[in-house]
Amino acid sequence: MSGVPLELPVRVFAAYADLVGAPYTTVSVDAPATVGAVRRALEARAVERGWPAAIARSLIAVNLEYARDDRAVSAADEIALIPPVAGG
Amino acid sequence: MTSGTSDRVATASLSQTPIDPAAVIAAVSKPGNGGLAVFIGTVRDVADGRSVVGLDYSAYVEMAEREMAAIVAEAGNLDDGTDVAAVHRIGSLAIGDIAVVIAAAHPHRAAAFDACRYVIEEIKRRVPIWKAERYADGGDAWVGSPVAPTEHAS
Repeated sequence: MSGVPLELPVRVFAAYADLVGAPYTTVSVDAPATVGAVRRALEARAVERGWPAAIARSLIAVNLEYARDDRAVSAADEIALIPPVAGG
Repeated sequence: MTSGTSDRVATASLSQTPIDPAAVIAAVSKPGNGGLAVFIGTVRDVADGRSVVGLDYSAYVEMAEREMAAIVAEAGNLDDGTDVAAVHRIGSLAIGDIAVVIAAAHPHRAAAFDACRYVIEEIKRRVPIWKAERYADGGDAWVGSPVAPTEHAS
Protein backbone atom coordinates (compact mmCIF):
# COMPACT_ATOMS: atom_id res chain seq x y z
CA MET A 1 0.00 0.00 0.00
CA SER A 2 1.43 3.32 -1.04
CA GLY A 3 -1.17 5.20 0.96
CA VAL A 4 -2.00 7.67 -1.78
CA PRO A 5 -5.54 8.91 -1.17
CA LEU A 6 -7.99 8.21 -3.96
CA GLU A 7 -11.43 9.77 -4.34
CA LEU A 8 -13.83 7.29 -5.90
CA PRO A 9 -17.40 8.05 -6.96
CA VAL A 10 -19.93 5.36 -6.03
CA ARG A 11 -23.39 5.16 -7.60
CA VAL A 12 -26.16 4.59 -5.06
CA PHE A 13 -29.79 3.56 -5.53
CA ALA A 14 -33.15 3.21 -3.84
CA ALA A 15 -32.95 3.68 -0.07
CA TYR A 16 -29.33 4.77 -0.30
CA ALA A 17 -30.02 7.42 -2.89
CA ASP A 18 -32.67 8.75 -0.51
CA LEU A 19 -30.25 8.73 2.43
CA VAL A 20 -27.41 10.32 0.45
CA GLY A 21 -29.79 12.76 -1.24
CA ALA A 22 -28.12 12.13 -4.61
CA PRO A 23 -27.57 9.28 -7.08
CA TYR A 24 -23.89 9.02 -6.15
CA THR A 25 -21.52 9.60 -3.29
CA THR A 26 -17.74 9.75 -3.02
CA VAL A 27 -15.44 7.72 -0.82
CA SER A 28 -11.81 8.36 0.03
CA VAL A 29 -9.61 5.26 0.06
CA ASP A 30 -5.89 4.52 -0.13
CA ALA A 31 -4.45 3.48 -3.51
CA PRO A 32 -4.22 0.80 -4.69
CA ALA A 33 -7.91 0.40 -3.86
CA THR A 34 -10.13 -2.66 -3.69
CA VAL A 35 -13.87 -3.26 -3.49
CA GLY A 36 -13.34 -4.24 0.15
CA ALA A 37 -11.77 -0.84 0.89
CA VAL A 38 -14.72 0.91 -0.75
CA ARG A 39 -17.10 -1.21 1.32
CA ARG A 40 -15.29 -0.33 4.56
CA ALA A 41 -15.36 3.37 3.66
CA LEU A 42 -19.10 3.16 2.99
CA GLU A 43 -19.63 1.31 6.29
CA ALA A 44 -17.70 3.98 8.15
CA ARG A 45 -19.83 6.64 6.47
CA ALA A 46 -23.02 4.85 7.46
CA VAL A 47 -21.92 4.62 11.09
CA GLU A 48 -20.86 8.27 11.10
CA ARG A 49 -24.21 9.38 9.69
CA GLY A 50 -26.20 7.24 12.12
CA TRP A 51 -27.61 5.03 9.37
CA PRO A 52 -28.19 1.43 10.32
CA ALA A 53 -25.25 -0.91 9.71
CA ALA A 54 -26.74 -1.51 6.33
CA ILE A 55 -23.87 -1.85 3.95
CA ALA A 56 -23.10 -5.37 5.18
CA ARG A 57 -26.12 -6.74 3.33
CA SER A 58 -25.37 -4.84 0.13
CA LEU A 59 -23.25 -5.96 -2.78
CA ILE A 60 -20.87 -3.84 -4.81
CA ALA A 61 -20.80 -3.86 -8.58
CA VAL A 62 -17.86 -2.78 -10.72
CA ASN A 63 -18.50 -1.94 -14.35
CA LEU A 64 -22.01 -3.46 -14.20
CA GLU A 65 -20.93 -6.79 -12.64
CA TYR A 66 -21.10 -7.97 -9.04
CA ALA A 67 -17.57 -7.84 -7.62
CA ARG A 68 -15.78 -9.56 -4.77
CA ASP A 69 -13.97 -7.65 -2.05
CA ASP A 70 -10.54 -8.46 -3.48
CA ARG A 71 -11.32 -6.86 -6.85
CA ALA A 72 -9.01 -3.91 -7.58
CA VAL A 73 -10.72 -0.63 -8.47
CA SER A 74 -9.59 2.73 -9.77
CA ALA A 75 -11.21 6.02 -10.68
CA ALA A 76 -11.70 4.63 -14.18
CA ASP A 77 -14.20 2.04 -12.90
CA GLU A 78 -17.92 2.54 -12.41
CA ILE A 79 -18.55 1.45 -8.83
CA ALA A 80 -22.08 0.97 -7.49
CA LEU A 81 -23.61 -0.03 -4.17
CA ILE A 82 -26.36 -2.61 -4.70
CA PRO A 83 -28.70 -3.00 -1.72
CA PRO A 84 -30.90 -6.13 -1.55
CA VAL A 85 -32.85 -6.26 -4.81
CA ALA A 86 -36.64 -6.49 -5.02
CA GLY A 87 -37.55 -7.01 -8.66
CA GLY A 88 -40.05 -9.50 -9.99
CA MET B 1 -37.99 -21.46 -39.01
CA THR B 2 -35.78 -24.08 -37.37
CA SER B 3 -35.06 -24.34 -33.67
CA GLY B 4 -31.29 -24.20 -34.07
CA THR B 5 -29.27 -22.07 -31.66
CA SER B 6 -28.39 -19.54 -34.34
CA ASP B 7 -31.93 -18.16 -34.45
CA ARG B 8 -32.89 -18.81 -30.86
CA VAL B 9 -34.79 -15.97 -29.21
CA ALA B 10 -33.15 -14.51 -26.10
CA THR B 11 -34.48 -11.04 -25.39
CA ALA B 12 -34.66 -9.03 -22.18
CA SER B 13 -35.63 -5.45 -21.52
CA LEU B 14 -36.91 -2.91 -19.04
CA SER B 15 -40.05 -0.94 -19.86
CA GLN B 16 -41.20 2.47 -18.64
CA THR B 17 -44.64 1.80 -20.12
CA PRO B 18 -47.22 -0.98 -19.55
CA ILE B 19 -46.09 -4.40 -20.78
CA ASP B 20 -48.19 -6.18 -23.42
CA PRO B 21 -48.02 -9.91 -22.59
CA ALA B 22 -49.14 -10.79 -26.13
CA ALA B 23 -46.05 -9.16 -27.56
CA VAL B 24 -43.76 -11.10 -25.22
CA ILE B 25 -45.54 -14.36 -26.12
CA ALA B 26 -45.32 -13.55 -29.82
CA ALA B 27 -41.56 -13.11 -29.49
CA VAL B 28 -41.06 -16.79 -28.61
CA SER B 29 -43.85 -18.29 -30.73
CA LYS B 30 -42.56 -20.54 -33.50
CA PRO B 31 -44.15 -23.38 -35.42
CA GLY B 32 -41.80 -25.88 -33.78
CA ASN B 33 -42.45 -24.72 -30.23
CA GLY B 34 -45.19 -27.01 -28.94
CA GLY B 35 -44.88 -25.79 -25.35
CA LEU B 36 -45.01 -22.17 -24.28
CA ALA B 37 -44.89 -21.18 -20.59
CA VAL B 38 -45.68 -17.66 -19.39
CA PHE B 39 -45.16 -16.06 -16.02
CA ILE B 40 -46.83 -12.73 -15.27
CA GLY B 41 -46.02 -10.96 -12.02
CA THR B 42 -48.52 -8.35 -10.87
CA VAL B 43 -48.67 -5.81 -8.06
CA ARG B 44 -50.33 -7.29 -4.96
CA ASP B 45 -52.53 -5.25 -2.64
CA VAL B 46 -50.98 -6.42 0.60
CA ALA B 47 -47.42 -6.88 1.91
CA ASP B 48 -46.64 -8.33 5.32
CA GLY B 49 -50.22 -7.67 6.37
CA ARG B 50 -50.05 -4.02 5.35
CA SER B 51 -52.43 -2.68 2.72
CA VAL B 52 -50.56 -1.55 -0.38
CA VAL B 53 -51.97 0.99 -2.85
CA GLY B 54 -49.13 1.00 -5.38
CA LEU B 55 -45.41 0.87 -5.83
CA ASP B 56 -42.50 2.40 -7.64
CA TYR B 57 -39.83 0.28 -9.31
CA SER B 58 -36.43 1.84 -9.85
CA ALA B 59 -33.41 0.18 -11.42
CA TYR B 60 -29.73 0.46 -12.09
CA VAL B 61 -30.82 0.38 -15.70
CA GLU B 62 -27.57 -0.47 -17.48
CA MET B 63 -26.73 -3.29 -15.08
CA ALA B 64 -30.31 -4.59 -14.85
CA GLU B 65 -30.51 -4.90 -18.63
CA ARG B 66 -27.18 -6.68 -18.72
CA GLU B 67 -28.10 -9.05 -15.88
CA MET B 68 -31.50 -9.85 -17.39
CA ALA B 69 -29.88 -10.60 -20.73
CA ALA B 70 -27.46 -12.98 -19.02
CA ILE B 71 -30.33 -14.72 -17.17
CA VAL B 72 -32.36 -15.15 -20.35
CA ALA B 73 -29.32 -16.60 -22.13
CA GLU B 74 -28.71 -19.00 -19.23
CA ALA B 75 -32.35 -20.09 -19.25
CA GLY B 76 -32.17 -20.77 -22.96
CA ASN B 77 -29.22 -23.07 -22.35
CA LEU B 78 -30.93 -25.20 -19.69
CA ASP B 79 -32.41 -27.26 -22.49
CA ASP B 80 -31.04 -26.83 -25.96
CA GLY B 81 -33.03 -24.50 -28.15
CA THR B 82 -35.37 -22.87 -25.64
CA ASP B 83 -36.63 -19.46 -26.76
CA VAL B 84 -36.94 -16.95 -23.94
CA ALA B 85 -38.20 -13.36 -23.68
CA ALA B 86 -38.54 -11.26 -20.52
CA VAL B 87 -39.68 -7.69 -19.84
CA HIS B 88 -39.64 -5.98 -16.45
CA ARG B 89 -41.55 -2.79 -15.77
CA ILE B 90 -40.01 0.19 -14.02
CA GLY B 91 -41.72 3.35 -12.82
CA SER B 92 -44.96 3.88 -10.93
CA LEU B 93 -47.45 0.96 -10.81
CA ALA B 94 -50.93 0.48 -9.35
CA ILE B 95 -52.48 -2.65 -7.83
CA GLY B 96 -52.94 -5.31 -10.49
CA ASP B 97 -50.50 -3.72 -12.92
CA ILE B 98 -48.08 -6.10 -14.61
CA ALA B 99 -44.58 -5.92 -13.13
CA VAL B 100 -42.89 -8.63 -15.18
CA VAL B 101 -43.69 -10.92 -18.11
CA ILE B 102 -41.59 -13.94 -19.00
CA ALA B 103 -42.31 -16.25 -21.92
CA ALA B 104 -40.34 -19.42 -22.67
CA ALA B 105 -41.01 -21.79 -25.53
CA HIS B 106 -39.59 -25.13 -26.62
CA PRO B 107 -40.75 -28.11 -28.64
CA HIS B 108 -41.69 -29.73 -25.29
CA ARG B 109 -43.40 -28.34 -22.21
CA ALA B 110 -40.89 -29.36 -19.51
CA ALA B 111 -38.13 -27.20 -20.96
CA ALA B 112 -40.53 -24.26 -21.32
CA PHE B 113 -41.62 -24.48 -17.67
CA ASP B 114 -38.04 -24.89 -16.46
CA ALA B 115 -36.76 -21.87 -18.38
CA CYS B 116 -39.67 -19.68 -17.28
CA ARG B 117 -39.18 -20.60 -13.62
CA TYR B 118 -35.43 -20.07 -13.86
CA VAL B 119 -35.83 -16.55 -15.22
CA ILE B 120 -38.21 -15.29 -12.54
CA GLU B 121 -36.20 -16.82 -9.69
CA GLU B 122 -32.95 -15.33 -10.99
CA ILE B 123 -34.53 -11.92 -11.63
CA LYS B 124 -35.66 -11.85 -8.00
CA ARG B 125 -32.24 -12.96 -6.81
CA ARG B 126 -29.84 -10.76 -8.76
CA VAL B 127 -31.27 -8.08 -11.07
CA PRO B 128 -30.69 -4.61 -9.57
CA ILE B 129 -34.30 -3.45 -9.42
CA TRP B 130 -35.85 -2.04 -6.25
CA LYS B 131 -39.41 -1.30 -5.23
CA ALA B 132 -40.85 1.27 -2.88
CA GLU B 133 -44.31 0.30 -1.65
CA ARG B 134 -46.95 2.95 -0.98
CA TYR B 135 -49.28 2.00 1.84
CA ALA B 136 -52.95 2.75 2.42
CA ASP B 137 -52.06 4.29 5.79
CA GLY B 138 -49.91 6.88 4.01
CA GLY B 139 -46.38 5.60 4.55
CA ASP B 140 -43.95 4.15 2.06
CA ALA B 141 -40.86 1.97 2.30
CA TRP B 142 -38.16 0.39 0.18
CA VAL B 143 -38.81 -3.34 0.11
CA GLY B 144 -36.00 -5.55 1.31
CA SER B 145 -33.82 -2.58 2.04
CA PRO B 146 -31.67 -2.82 5.14
CA VAL B 147 -32.75 0.68 6.00
CA ALA B 148 -36.47 -0.06 5.81
CA PRO B 149 -38.29 0.10 9.17
CA THR B 150 -39.09 -3.61 9.15
CA GLU B 151 -35.57 -4.76 8.37
CA HIS B 152 -32.48 -4.63 10.53
CA ALA B 153 -29.01 -5.56 9.36
CA SER B 154 -26.83 -7.38 11.87
